[in-house]
Amino acid sequence: MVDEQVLQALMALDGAPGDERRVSAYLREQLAPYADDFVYDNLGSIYAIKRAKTPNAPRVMVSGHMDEVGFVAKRFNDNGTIAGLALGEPLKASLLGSAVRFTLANGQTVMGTLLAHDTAGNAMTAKQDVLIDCGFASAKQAQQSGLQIGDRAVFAEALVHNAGSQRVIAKAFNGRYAPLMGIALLKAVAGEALPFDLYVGCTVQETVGLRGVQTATNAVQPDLGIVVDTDAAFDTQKDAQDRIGRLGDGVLLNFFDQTVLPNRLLLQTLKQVCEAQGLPYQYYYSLAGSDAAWINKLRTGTPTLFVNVAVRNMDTPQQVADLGDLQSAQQALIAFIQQLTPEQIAAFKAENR
Amino acid sequence: MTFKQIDLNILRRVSEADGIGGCEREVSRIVAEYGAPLCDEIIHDNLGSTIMIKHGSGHGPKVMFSAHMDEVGFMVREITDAGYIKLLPVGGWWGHVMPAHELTVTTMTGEKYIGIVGARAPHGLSQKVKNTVIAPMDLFLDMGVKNRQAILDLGIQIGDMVTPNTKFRVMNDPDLLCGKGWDDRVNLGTMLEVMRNLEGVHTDADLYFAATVQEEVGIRGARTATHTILPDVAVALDVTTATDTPLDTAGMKLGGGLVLSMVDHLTLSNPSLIAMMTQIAQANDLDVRYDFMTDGGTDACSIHKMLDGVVAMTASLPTRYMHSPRLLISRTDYEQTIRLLTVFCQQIDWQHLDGMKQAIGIQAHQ
Repeated sequence: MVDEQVLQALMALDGAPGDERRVSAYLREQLAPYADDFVYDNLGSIYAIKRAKTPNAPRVMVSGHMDEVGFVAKRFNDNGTIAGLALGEPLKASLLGSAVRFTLANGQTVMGTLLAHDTAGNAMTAKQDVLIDCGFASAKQAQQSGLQIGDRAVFAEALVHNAGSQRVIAKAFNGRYAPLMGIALLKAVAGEALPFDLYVGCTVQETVGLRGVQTATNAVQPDLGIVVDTDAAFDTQKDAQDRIGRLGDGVLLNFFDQTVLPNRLLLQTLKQVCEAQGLPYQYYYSLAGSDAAWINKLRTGTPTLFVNVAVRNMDTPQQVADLGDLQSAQQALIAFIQQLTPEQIAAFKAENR
Repeated sequence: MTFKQIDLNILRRVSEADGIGGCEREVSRIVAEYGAPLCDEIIHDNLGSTIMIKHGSGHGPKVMFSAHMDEVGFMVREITDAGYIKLLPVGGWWGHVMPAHELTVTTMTGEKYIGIVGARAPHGLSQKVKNTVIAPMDLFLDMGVKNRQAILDLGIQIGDMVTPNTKFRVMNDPDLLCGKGWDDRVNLGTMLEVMRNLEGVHTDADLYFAATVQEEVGIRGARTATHTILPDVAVALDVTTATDTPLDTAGMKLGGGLVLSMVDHLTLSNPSLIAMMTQIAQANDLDVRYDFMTDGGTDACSIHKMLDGVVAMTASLPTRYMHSPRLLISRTDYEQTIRLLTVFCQQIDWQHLDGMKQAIGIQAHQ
C-alpha cells in the first residue's frame, strides 16, 4: 500500500529549486537502512545504491525530481511587500491569493500570500515576477523578521484527505511523487539479491529546466533509466483535445514525450508486468518535457521508461492525485524491478537495431 | 579516381522503408545489409544508431559522417469507437500536405496496414473553412473498417508508427527522383555510395559512417553516436530546402550541384573544412553552392559542441517538398556529393585537420 505517513511527511517539506536539501535529507534518512551506499552529484541530486552480488553488473537508475515550483525573494519594497521571482512554471491562473511559506536560514518559516500586480488580478508577470505580502508594513519590518534576499518560498497548503475518499489534495505531487515511489521501491526489494546495481533517488532543479538530471546521469552512468514523475490530467477540462490522464484509471503508459521517445520494448514490458499483476494502466502522451530527456540522450544513450501518474491542477497550490493510481504505479515499479534481468537490459539497448 | 555507377536500388529501399524517430530498425537493417561487406566493423549506440567503421592507417584522425535514418511521421494517438485513428505528429508536419494521402500503420510485430487521411468534401463549406489549414492533431486516419474492435483485431496499438505510403519513382526527366523521406534517407545512400567507391582503397583516416536516430525529434541520436565514436572531425549530411518552384523562387535549384552549409540555425561550419571541400570540388569539376539556413538544423548542431568540441560542417542536398509524403531530389546533386566525399575521405589526415584547428586559432599539437 502507499505509505500515507511518508506522503504526509514529504508534503510537509519545502523544496524549491536549488533548495532541495530538506527533501534530500529526509530521503537519505528513509533510504539509509536499505542502501549499501549513497552518491550525490554536485548540484545536490542524491541516489541510494543497492549493489548486485556480482561485480560489473549493469546499472539501473530509478529517478525523478524532488524540487517543487517555488519563489525566491529578490527585493524588499518600501511598503513591506516582497518582490519575488517564480522558479519553475506555476500555473498563472492559480496564483492570486495563494498561501506561500518562506524558509529562513535558521529554519524558521514566514507565511505570506501572493498579491495582484494589476486591477485585473494578475499575480505573475510575463517575466515571472510576483509580489508577496507577509503582513509587514515596511522594508525594515520585513528584514527584522529574519527574511533575506535569496530565501525561497513554496506553496503552503496543508494536505487534504477526506474520509471515505481515495484522493489526496496536496501542494506538490509534482516534486514528491518520485521520493514517495523511491522509498517504497527500495524498501520492497531490500531483502532481494538483484542482478544489477540499483540506483534509487532524486534530481534537483527539474522545474527550472531539467538541470539536475544532467549531472545526475553523468554521476550514475546508467544502463537503464526509469523516470518517475507526474503528468497533467486532462479528465475534467471541457475543451481538452483528448481525455488523457484520467484519475483513477491507473499508472500511465507514456508512449511519447516532447523531449524523449520511451523505448518501445520497455513500454511493452511494463504493459505485460501490469497485466500479469492485474494493475490498471492507461496510455498517455505528453507535450511537455521531462528529466527522461537527458537520461536518454547523454553519453552513449540509455533506454528510458516512465512510470508516471496523472495529477489534476499540476503546478498549482492544490494538486489532486488518486491513491489507487499511486498504488498501481508503485506496484508496477516494484514488479518491474523484481522481474528485470541483465539480459533484458541488453535487449532494451538493442531494441532499435 | 574512378567512381562507381550509383545503385538506385539503395535509394529505393531506404526511401520505401518505414521509420520514424525511435523506430528506425527497418532502415538500419537495410543500411547494415549494404554496409557490412563494405566496412570492417559495425557498432551501435544504445538508441539504435548504426555506425559502420572502415579502418585507416592507424595513425590518421577519426572522421565521422552522419545521416539520420528517421523520417517525419506519426504515432497512433487514439483509436475512436467508430474505428478512426487519431494521429500524433512525430517531427514537423503541416496539415496542408496530409489530407487524402495514404499512410501505413506498422504494428509492433511488423505487420503493415494502409489507411487514408480523411478529408472533407468541399460542398457547402464556407470560404473561411476552405481557406483554413487543418492542424495535424485534428486530422485522422481512416482505416476502412467499421469500428474500434476491427482496428484492435489487426493488432494495431496506441504508440504504433504511421508513415506515408509512397513508392520510389524515377521522374520524367530521369535526373529527378521522387520518394518519401529523402530527409535524410538520401544521405544514407550518399554514405553507402562513398563506401562502395572506397572498396579496396586505403585511407589514412579511420572512417565512421553513422546512420543516426531521432534527428527530427531533437537531434538525439547524433549525440549518442558522437559519444560512441569520439570523432576528431565530422561532416553531417542532410538536406536543405530547394527554392526553385512557382511557390519558392529564391534560386536553390535541383541539379545545380553540391551544397556546403556555412551556417545553419545552430551551427557555424569550420571555415577551413569548408575551404578544403571547395578545393576538392574545384579540382574535380564539381559545382559548389553555399547554404545559409536560418531555420532548421542538422546532426552537426549536436556533434560540433559535444565532448571538447568537434571540427564539423554540414554538406547538404536540396530537396523539394520537405516534410511531406513526396519529395524530389536530383541525381546530379547526389552524385556530386558522393564524389566530393569520396575524395575527401582519401585526403583528410592530421595535417589537414591541424590546419583547420589553426584556422580557428588553435596551435598545432607537437
